[in-house]
Amino acid sequence: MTSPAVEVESLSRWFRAGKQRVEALSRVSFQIEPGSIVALLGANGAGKTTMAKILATLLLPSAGSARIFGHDVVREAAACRRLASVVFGGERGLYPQLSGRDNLRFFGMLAGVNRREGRHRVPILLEQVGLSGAADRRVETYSKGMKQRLHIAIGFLPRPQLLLLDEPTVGLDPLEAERLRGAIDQARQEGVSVLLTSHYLLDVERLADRVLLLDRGSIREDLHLTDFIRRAGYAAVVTVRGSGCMPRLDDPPPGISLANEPTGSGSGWEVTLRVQEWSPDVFAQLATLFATSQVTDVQVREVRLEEAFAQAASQHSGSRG
Amino acid sequence: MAVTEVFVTSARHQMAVVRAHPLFLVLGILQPLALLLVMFFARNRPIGAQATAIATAVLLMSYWGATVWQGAGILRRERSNGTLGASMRGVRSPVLVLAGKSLGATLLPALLTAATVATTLALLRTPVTIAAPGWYLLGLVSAILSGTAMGLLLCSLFLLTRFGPQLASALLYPVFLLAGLLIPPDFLPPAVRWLGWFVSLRWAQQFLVSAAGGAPDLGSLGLVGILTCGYIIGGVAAFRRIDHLVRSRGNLELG
Amino acid sequence: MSWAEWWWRLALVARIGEREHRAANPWRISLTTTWPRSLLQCLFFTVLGRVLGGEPGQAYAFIGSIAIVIALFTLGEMCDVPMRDRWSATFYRLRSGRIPVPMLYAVRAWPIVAEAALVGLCCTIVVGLLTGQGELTLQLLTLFPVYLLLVFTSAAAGLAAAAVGLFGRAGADVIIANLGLYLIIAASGALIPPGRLGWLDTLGAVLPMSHGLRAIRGQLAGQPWLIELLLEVVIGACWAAAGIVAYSVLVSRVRRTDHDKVT
Repeated sequence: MTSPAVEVESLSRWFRAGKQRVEALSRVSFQIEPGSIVALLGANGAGKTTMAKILATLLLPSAGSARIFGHDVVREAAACRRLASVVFGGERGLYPQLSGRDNLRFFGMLAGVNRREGRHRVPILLEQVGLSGAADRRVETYSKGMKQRLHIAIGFLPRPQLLLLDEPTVGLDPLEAERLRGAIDQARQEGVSVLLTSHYLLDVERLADRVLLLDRGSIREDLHLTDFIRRAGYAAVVTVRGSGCMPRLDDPPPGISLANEPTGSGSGWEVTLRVQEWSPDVFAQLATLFATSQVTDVQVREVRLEEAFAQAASQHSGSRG
Repeated sequence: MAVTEVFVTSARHQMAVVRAHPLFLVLGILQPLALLLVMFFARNRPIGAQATAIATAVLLMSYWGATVWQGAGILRRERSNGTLGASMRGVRSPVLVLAGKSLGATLLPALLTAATVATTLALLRTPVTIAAPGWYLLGLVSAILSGTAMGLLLCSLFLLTRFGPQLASALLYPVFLLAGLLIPPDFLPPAVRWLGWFVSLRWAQQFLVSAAGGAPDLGSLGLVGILTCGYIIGGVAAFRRIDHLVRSRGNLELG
Repeated sequence: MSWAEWWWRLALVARIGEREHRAANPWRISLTTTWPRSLLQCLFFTVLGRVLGGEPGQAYAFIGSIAIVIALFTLGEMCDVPMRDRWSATFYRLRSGRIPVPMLYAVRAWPIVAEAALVGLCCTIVVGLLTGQGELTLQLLTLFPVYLLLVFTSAAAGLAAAAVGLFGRAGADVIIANLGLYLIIAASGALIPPGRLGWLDTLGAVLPMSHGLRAIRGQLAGQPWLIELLLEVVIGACWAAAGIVAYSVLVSRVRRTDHDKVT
């Protein structure tokens, strides 16, 4: 039986801040199956980067254990490093006075890429991340997005079996971000496992199989993406606009609720409704609801991950009082 | 805000900046201590007027080190911190602000050097006689003002290149050699002795030693003043050039 | 990893080290500022030796001044090698890489070591001739391999000391680099003969260059010098070992404390 790509068991990590002990992670447990993409969501300071550092063998846990394909991150760090690659991104983490190509070659070599492979793959990766033209320029002349792309190239170069991506699309324009998502998806199809932390929920929506919600160092939710999205409590949002008299919506049918109070100005009105679950009856119910109204426009959209995240986050912050 | 208030506020600000980085400990303690140990133990132990001359020279050498490393790097550090724009585009005269900062950058190391020299001499039980303390103090103040003016000039020059630290280190020893501080001018080839005339520290050393001996050489003091005026004129001109470059190029990436 | 693989990796590290060093110190800057500064420093201390002790003083100081200018690179600039990783926040990549950190830094430092040797040689020739010490210059040139030994022993000490400042308070690297340099000036016997200050001699005994300088002076004076030469080798090896331990401890500590500021 293949080991999970990542196996974390009761992992804790605390730091000393003067006399106080700050718990960055508290008894966290989860697994990532090979070839899957798991998103780690959480507010700033929730512990996402700390988790990534521990899995990248950059930081020791205070308690508990973590394994990468069966290798313990503490006792078998070298084996873990051969299997995993981490991308932290940002403006730093590169030698500014060296060229992009030099940075990529050097860090690839450190990560275990041999000479022949480096010679073959460096130009390919530079092309894939759109840095071929700038490869021989000093990194200090790169824009934020270019530096981020170089970080990603460094992460992909050693052909890791596990990719730890910390905010990978930060600084990238929409086209570049979409290209990166394509590359991550391609990697998944090749069997690479990915742990992704991101504030851009579009990344998560497009890529993740599963979502872990980290809140103040603890895992609050561990659900498949579709199940997590359902945490919002509804499946779709319907916005209806019309003219004439405001429709009466005191008693909407079951499965349909008002998202907010209807709004109206002189010539028209707007109503936003939430549909709990799609069924053939929903259309009939909506038709009945607006039977006597003059409807001019109807827009339907699926529930967004942000709404599920906001719902989950407020539920957990509410439970703390 | 009065001119003096701007000057003093800028000086105090820069002293706080200097205090935050341990380089001033190197300039104020390590360097003078090493030089004093060499001068007092390499050969026969100096006493009396010779000891006073050496102590004065070490004081001025360390002060020059502070001028080059702290004073001359002010604008370069402001650029790397992203605060250069605010310094150059404020309501107050940027030259006045810079002059205040230049003084502040070197004052703390200078005071620390004086303390190091005094402590070391006390530990070595080597008394130093200063027959005309008032004139001696005036000489020290003149040297500090001259260093401030030189800092103003070097600041602007160092902003024009990214290799300021290398340039700074290259300026140390020419002055150490030419200024007649620890090495009397007689020991230099005649062909290069005249270069020392343009270094105000040379005249400051001469004045201070004469004041310590009880017969202050006012001519030397006058030369310190003249050269200081020259540094100020050069410094203001260089700074105005920088200001023009910034406006015409539209950015602060000058080198 | 095979030998060929190791060789390739270390060669790449050396190449990167050279590019980094040249980016920060282009040849036009080295030749117009850094090297002249070294020459003038050597000249200053040599002439100072004459001021203090006539021709014998000058000769004594000249031998020591060459060591001082070497130390300017091997102790003064050596801190920059690991500090670049602090400034660029790249240390986390190095400590999780395939090459041990001490080895990485030792190889990356080669341009500084080479420049120290070259500058030392230039100073020997130029300052020796400028100060009318032609005969002594020729003798020192035949003894230059000992100066090369001093380059390596002081470089080992420089790298070891740099580990202390790597993730210390801001500016710790400046203190360490300068402390090393001024200790060489004051305590290694470069300028102050042994026997003047007991505590200074004790300190100098564990510094690089002290025994090497005694070996050089001993050989010139026709006295036994091999023991001092061996002691220099031993001291250099001790500093190298200290450096290996220091970086290993640092890597381990940073892995516990997260102090290398990855993000």
